Amino acid sequence: MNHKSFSPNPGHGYQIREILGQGKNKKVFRAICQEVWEDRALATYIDSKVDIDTVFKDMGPAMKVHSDYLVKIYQPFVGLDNRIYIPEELLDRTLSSLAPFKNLKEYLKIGRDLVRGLFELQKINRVHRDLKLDNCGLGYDWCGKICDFGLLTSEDSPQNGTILTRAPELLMDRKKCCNKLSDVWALGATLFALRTGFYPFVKTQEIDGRPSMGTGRTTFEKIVKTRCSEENAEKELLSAVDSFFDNKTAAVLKEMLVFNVQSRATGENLVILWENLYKDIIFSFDGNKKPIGTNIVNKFSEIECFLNGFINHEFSITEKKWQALCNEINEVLKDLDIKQKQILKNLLAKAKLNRESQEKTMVAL
Amino acid sequence: MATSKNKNTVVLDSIYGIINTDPGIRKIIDTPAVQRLRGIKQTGLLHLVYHSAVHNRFSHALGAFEVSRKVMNALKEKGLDFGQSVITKFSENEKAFYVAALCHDIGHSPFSHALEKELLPNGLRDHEECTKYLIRNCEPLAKAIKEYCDHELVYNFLAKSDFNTYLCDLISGPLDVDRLDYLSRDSQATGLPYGNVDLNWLIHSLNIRNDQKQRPNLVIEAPKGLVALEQFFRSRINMYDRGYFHKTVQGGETLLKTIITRAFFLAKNNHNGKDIALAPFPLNEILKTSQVSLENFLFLQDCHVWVAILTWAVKAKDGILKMLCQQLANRTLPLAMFATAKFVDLPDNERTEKISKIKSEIAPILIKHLKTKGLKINEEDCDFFFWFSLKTLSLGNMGDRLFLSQNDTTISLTKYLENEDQKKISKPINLKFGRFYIFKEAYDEIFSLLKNEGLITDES
Repeated sequence: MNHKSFSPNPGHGYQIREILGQGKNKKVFRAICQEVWEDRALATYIDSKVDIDTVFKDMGPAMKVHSDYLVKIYQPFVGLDNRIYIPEELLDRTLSSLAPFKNLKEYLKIGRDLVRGLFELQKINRVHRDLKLDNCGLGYDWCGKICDFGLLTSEDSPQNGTILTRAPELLMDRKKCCNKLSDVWALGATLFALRTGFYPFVKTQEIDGRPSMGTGRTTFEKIVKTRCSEENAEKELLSAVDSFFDNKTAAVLKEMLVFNVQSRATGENLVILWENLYKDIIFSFDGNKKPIGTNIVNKFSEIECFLNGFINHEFSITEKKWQALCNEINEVLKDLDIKQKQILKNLLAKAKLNRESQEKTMVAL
Repeated sequence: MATSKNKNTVVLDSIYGIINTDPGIRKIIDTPAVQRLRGIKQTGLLHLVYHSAVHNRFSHALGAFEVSRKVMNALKEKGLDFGQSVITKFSENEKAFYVAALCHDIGHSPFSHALEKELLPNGLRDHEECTKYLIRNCEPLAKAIKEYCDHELVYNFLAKSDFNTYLCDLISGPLDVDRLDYLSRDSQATGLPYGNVDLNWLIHSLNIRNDQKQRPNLVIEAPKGLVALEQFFRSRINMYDRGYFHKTVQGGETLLKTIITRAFFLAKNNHNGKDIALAPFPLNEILKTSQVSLENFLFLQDCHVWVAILTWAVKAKDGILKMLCQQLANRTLPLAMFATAKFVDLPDNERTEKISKIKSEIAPILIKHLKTKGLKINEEDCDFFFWFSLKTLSLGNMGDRLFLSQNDTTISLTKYLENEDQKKISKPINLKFGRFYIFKEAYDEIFSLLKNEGLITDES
């Protein structure tokens, strides 16, 4: 069968509107469900050998979970073209359309939501196997949600799904099975990519152009494996986490992206860690009653805070604003002591690098 | 609009009276992308119920612009000295904020939210994404903005990625200039008085507090602003309850969506190509190609869709399209039946299953009634004549993103509502409506059937 050209015919009140994406195993469409007159994501397997009983066995438990952090899965069915179709709630947008994501508060909220979603899956002993930016997104209420359960299965099942977020222990040993902790790594890599725009061991330009099947895919897998097995791979990844995130967020992400499986955080721990992280930031007002801008006594600390935020990718800065900021810093430097001058100069240099990388396409580790 | 090159000019608005615009803003207003909003009704098909609600998105854009100026002036009066630091005061912040407020809705498709999924340029999911796309890619607009202020900064405000969190939130957040204007404007236009908000007091209660990272956040001073805030929530609920989610409005919008879906279906399957040719440019081109190019989108307004509907109502060869268009053109809209709370609260899977089951029972009734009207359809086509619509409005995570300041503390609205000792404001209620829609002739028979199944209430 020509995979690329098959035209879906789901029937059951579904009318295909457009193709949303295609992977090695599945093709996903946007389809209108005329019974409720709403759009849904409709996934179908490219390999027509998959049978409906297996789908029910793998997905059955997830269909019964009602969670705000997992998209709703509707009853899978056999379409008029004898293919299996899995309808899912359609997200407002996937995370791939947001990366690199600057807004720290929203980022932490999305992280917290996704970790809760992953834990919901782990509670019913399910492994997602295909967590990546395209398979996570935001609902219409801006809740972070995990979607695309086409590869959902029980623990200790063979490797499948994307290479972008494959855990190091799986990359090193093709025969090793997926488990809850490999999903934790995958979610960590996804959250890393959401903030930075690139995945660990994968260059930005490789993300869209990567081959989804055949020898190209195998070669790509080998490249990622080689990078991951380099001596300093883990160290470089964790230092990249440090450079892109503030200390607290970096500490939590490192718990997810550690190579040693025994040291990796479990789903349950992660829920607590992200909850605390989110609360720390979102409820962290300093009680300063004075409106901004008035009587700024310590301009140094204000600029320091600003530059740190920018270095941590918490917001964007425009070219004009950057120029004005540099002029102001030059003015301020005159009145500072040597130590403060040095600190500001260092921060400015880092921020400059950050700004340059903002303009260029992100280059990977 | 006649413009003077160096002088401020004024526009008269039905809500705020005189709105003062400087030459730079005027130039942006006069771009085709903003002027196009004159041809898009603010409230979709709300005028089918509230006949005077025929105001357009252009008025709303100017309204949001004026509210943004009022907010900025109020914050300045509170002692915000934007002249001290580049970080918070960048001379362009203020201008870019006004432009973002003015342009926040330029990405709306005809009939606003009703056809958002159908008629946006390809690849764009909603009007917000489309707005950001236009800010960057619509040349005359981008040029006018660049001449006036920091173009990139306008984009950052719309994308919520600037350092000044409060300015981003005022463009799109729980209490933004968009909501503050549309509630007052739609309330006045519809004649629904309980949609009004106490705009001046609400703005007077706004302030800014730095978070730990020294980023400025928008807060409402408590207890001063609580009554106005409570009224704001109530107005929102009231407007959705009595206005935007009105059963007849929803019936009309469902019908409108069905017509466009049918037209796309016919175009895609090469049925009745002549019907598609009857639609005016650029709608015919969009239907034919299933592509909405930027050029076509910038030309497309409500009138193009209306002309197509009125023409199809008389001349369409496709019976289904013709009948649907006749219904909308003559305002013989589908009638609503209210689903029971039990049915609405069912998990989506079960609800869908039930609808699917009931549909097979309804199909013969629909086929019979449509036959008497001279239209032969098969079971699959029944989807074009029987609908279920579910609409919800909830506080969502608004409570986490809205902050109150009292004495030395700043807390989120959610936390404030949790504390029993505080002088409380009542927690905003959520709305959830489930309705079946059916055309008039088959109403009685299907009503009895659904009633027997326990799916609808007597109220229907």
